[in-house]
Amino acid sequence: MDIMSLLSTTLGIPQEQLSESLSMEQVDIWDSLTHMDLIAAIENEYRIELTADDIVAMTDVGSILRILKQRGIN
Amino acid sequence: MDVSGKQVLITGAAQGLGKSIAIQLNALGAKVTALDINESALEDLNSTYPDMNVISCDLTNIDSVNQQLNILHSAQGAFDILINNAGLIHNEPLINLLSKTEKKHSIENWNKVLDVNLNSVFYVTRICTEAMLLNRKKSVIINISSISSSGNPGQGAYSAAKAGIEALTRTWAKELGPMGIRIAAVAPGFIETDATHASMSEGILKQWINNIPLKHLGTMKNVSDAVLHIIENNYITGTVLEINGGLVL
Repeated sequence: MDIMSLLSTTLGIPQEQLSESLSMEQVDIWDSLTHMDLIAAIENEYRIELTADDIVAMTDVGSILRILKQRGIN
Repeated sequence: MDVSGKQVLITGAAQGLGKSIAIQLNALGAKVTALDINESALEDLNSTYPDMNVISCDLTNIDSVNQQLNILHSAQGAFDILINNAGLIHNEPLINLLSKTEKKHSIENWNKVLDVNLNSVFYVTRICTEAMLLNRKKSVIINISSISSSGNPGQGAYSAAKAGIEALTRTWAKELGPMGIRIAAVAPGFIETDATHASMSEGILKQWINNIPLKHLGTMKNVSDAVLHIIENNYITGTVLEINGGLVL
């Protein structure tokens, strides 16, 4: 599954509404617990383990894409 | 999870069930840190098991807990396994009509029982779990509950604390499962310990034993075996493992 599809499924947001500037503050359902679900979904999908710093930094779509790109995931 | 080589923190580990669990895990190669308020019992434990790390700590004092756990985490990093065992059995009905003085359950005793049995679990777990998450450790947390969690007459405070522990077990398992941290509880029934004998007369204890389908008290090893089972089975989380010989209150 590509990352946008995964974000759309986990956050319950249509893909066309996802933008790099979209952040936790703008999505009601994207609270700290949903963030853990999102991280687990990313780790399971791409078979990676993110660091605590990555997890803390991945609070908007742009940051998620940037950090995953650093891991070779586009 | 294989316990060999793992960093294990056990609260209330100087005596009784906690000591039994500490000894069993130590024998399997775990690196055990024993927290307890009883310094002389800790010294006894350490003299017999010098490879165990023993730390004196009042688990009801949040500052003491923070200080000791911060020192431990700085020295050795996050724990792989946390066993919240520290507890205090207390018998007192809500109302004792036969009392010649105060008939109502003591507020002081209520707070003390909740502090030792429930608040201490929260104090220790919040700090240990933060370190586990920050270090991305796939850890295991085991809370020691009791058969009394379902409501044992004369043990309102203790029963409430243990029911609270089971609620925390299920809640934290849901919160932390996505990050690979497992949380489960063990709920012993009547176990052959000094605390069991101290909490009731031998006559009352015989009545309880007669009510147990297996007709005997459990052993501390029965409980520590259950703890080990939870550690070793990577698919157990959010559940309470009852070790009670079939007794239902």
